[in-house]
Amino acid sequence: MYHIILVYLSLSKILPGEHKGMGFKSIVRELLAIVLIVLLWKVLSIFLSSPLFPGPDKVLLSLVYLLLKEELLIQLGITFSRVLIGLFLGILTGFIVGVLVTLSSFLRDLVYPLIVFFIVTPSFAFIPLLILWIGLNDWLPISLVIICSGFPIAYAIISSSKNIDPDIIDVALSLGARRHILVFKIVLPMALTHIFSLLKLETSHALRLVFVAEYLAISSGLGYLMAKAYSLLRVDEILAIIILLGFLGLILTYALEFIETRIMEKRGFMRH
Amino acid sequence: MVKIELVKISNFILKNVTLTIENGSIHVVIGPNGAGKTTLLKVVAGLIRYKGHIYFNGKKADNMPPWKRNIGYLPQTNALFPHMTVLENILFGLKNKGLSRNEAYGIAKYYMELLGISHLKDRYPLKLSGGEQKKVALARALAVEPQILLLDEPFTGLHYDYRVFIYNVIKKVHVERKPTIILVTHEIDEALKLGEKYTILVNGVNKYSGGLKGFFENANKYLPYINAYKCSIIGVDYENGLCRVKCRDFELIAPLTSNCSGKVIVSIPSDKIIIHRFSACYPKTNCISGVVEEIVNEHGLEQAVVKVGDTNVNVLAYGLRVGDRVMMKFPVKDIKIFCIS
Repeated sequence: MYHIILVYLSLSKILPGEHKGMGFKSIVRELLAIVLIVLLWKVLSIFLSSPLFPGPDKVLLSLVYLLLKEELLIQLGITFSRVLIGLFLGILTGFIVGVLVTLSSFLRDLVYPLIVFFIVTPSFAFIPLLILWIGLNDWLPISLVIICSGFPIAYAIISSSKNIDPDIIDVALSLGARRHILVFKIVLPMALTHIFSLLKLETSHALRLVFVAEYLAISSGLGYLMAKAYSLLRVDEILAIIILLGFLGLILTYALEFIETRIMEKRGFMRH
Repeated sequence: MVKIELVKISNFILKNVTLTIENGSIHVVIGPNGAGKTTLLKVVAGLIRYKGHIYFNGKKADNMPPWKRNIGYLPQTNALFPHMTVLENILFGLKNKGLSRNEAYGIAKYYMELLGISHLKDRYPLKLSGGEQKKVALARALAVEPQILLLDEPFTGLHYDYRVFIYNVIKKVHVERKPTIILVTHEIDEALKLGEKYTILVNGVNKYSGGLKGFFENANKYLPYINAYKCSIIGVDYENGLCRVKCRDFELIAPLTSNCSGKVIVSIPSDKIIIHRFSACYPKTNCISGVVEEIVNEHGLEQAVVKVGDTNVNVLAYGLRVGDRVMMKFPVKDIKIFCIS
């Protein structure tokens, strides 16, 4: 679902006519779609009449009730801060590793297989190991996010340097650019598009990782609240948390889209 | 000014290329697609691996990195840095040379004015037309005031006005600063207007290097998309801007494009010649008949060699077969005349 939203957001920038922004008609159509889904949900809940399938009104009430309780906002803040800290440290680490590897062919031979290893290994496989090494504290989800977002960022920088038009590299070299100038003035700025695409995917990935770590091992955060709701069979609360998680992901994605658009506009990558 | 000597240069495209480019000259490298023209430029720029040796003013330059070669390179694709404005693109090489901000800005301003792109200085490449991009790329290559200027197809895909403008800029820079220029092209017009020496490169092999006279003798043989003949002007119609030229085996009406008289070179691209298979050619001006002697396949493009007396005419094959008798129409507007002197 989350990836569908991401693809939709990306396509809405590419498809002709869509870049002009959301017109009144498209806003109405989108609202209509939400209303139809909620109506269908309500009809189904009446038809099924089961405590395992509460209607939208009940879920909304639970959501308001949870929001009014201080605990939910605190747990939301905890999850959010874990995602942000993890992403920040991951991006920083990935950036440094990526730049160092691009600067040195010796380092590339040394580190590149390791980077690929971390990318292809399922992120969740690190959870048991990190529980044993780090323990059940804040650093468990944070370090998971660092590992799982840092290496892809490093990979994005390295692979971008390979994908740049060879003529651009040739011209830069003929104009006197040494390797470090090439990396900082040409490769990194041109890798931005690639890095941002990956970052949007990694943000959703980070949210999933933090949630799973909280659900499985830590007694704080939205994951923990979900585990509690599940143990009490509170389906309305489970749905309310799912909606909240979706919104959290949307906010993060929109924030990244905003930053990306501003930077890309400033850097001349957008035609309009 | 740099004299460039290439001695037995070989790599994945070039085969044993030996070539001398005199200092301060404009050396045109002409050849069909895939001949190795761009590769030759990259070898000179030190951007590609090769076997053999390069000498700059007699000194071996094989291990000299590109940034020390003092070159300006204009690639066919322009390769503007998309994340930099026009001004930043031009300043890039100047900053790398260690010039102060004011000094670099002064030089960039001069070249932007020379190329008429001052009003575009804050624009990004994505927001420029093809012709404007070419001008920026040329300004960037010229701004570093190189001793060697490498131009890869600088006129391809440009409107006539832009071609003339860029031609004039290159000429002006050459007169003022005398850099050694290697101009790669597959278009004969600009090659003849600008060139002082010529190299014909085919399939990575240097088929000819030298002056204009020998160039024409070899062009018909090695460049099937070009027809060039040594002819004489035998009549001039100043009122209509036309002249009559007599070549070895036929006469043509051609536009009077220059003030030369007597011996001239007449050229027409092979794809501009219209073929009539059943001797119907009307109006009869510039209609010449001949017999298909050979069909050559150059990179998937079939060309027919039509024999008219002792002269070969290259045309697009379009299903012609050896032995076919054809009528060829040389459209007046597509014929170019160059003074031999």
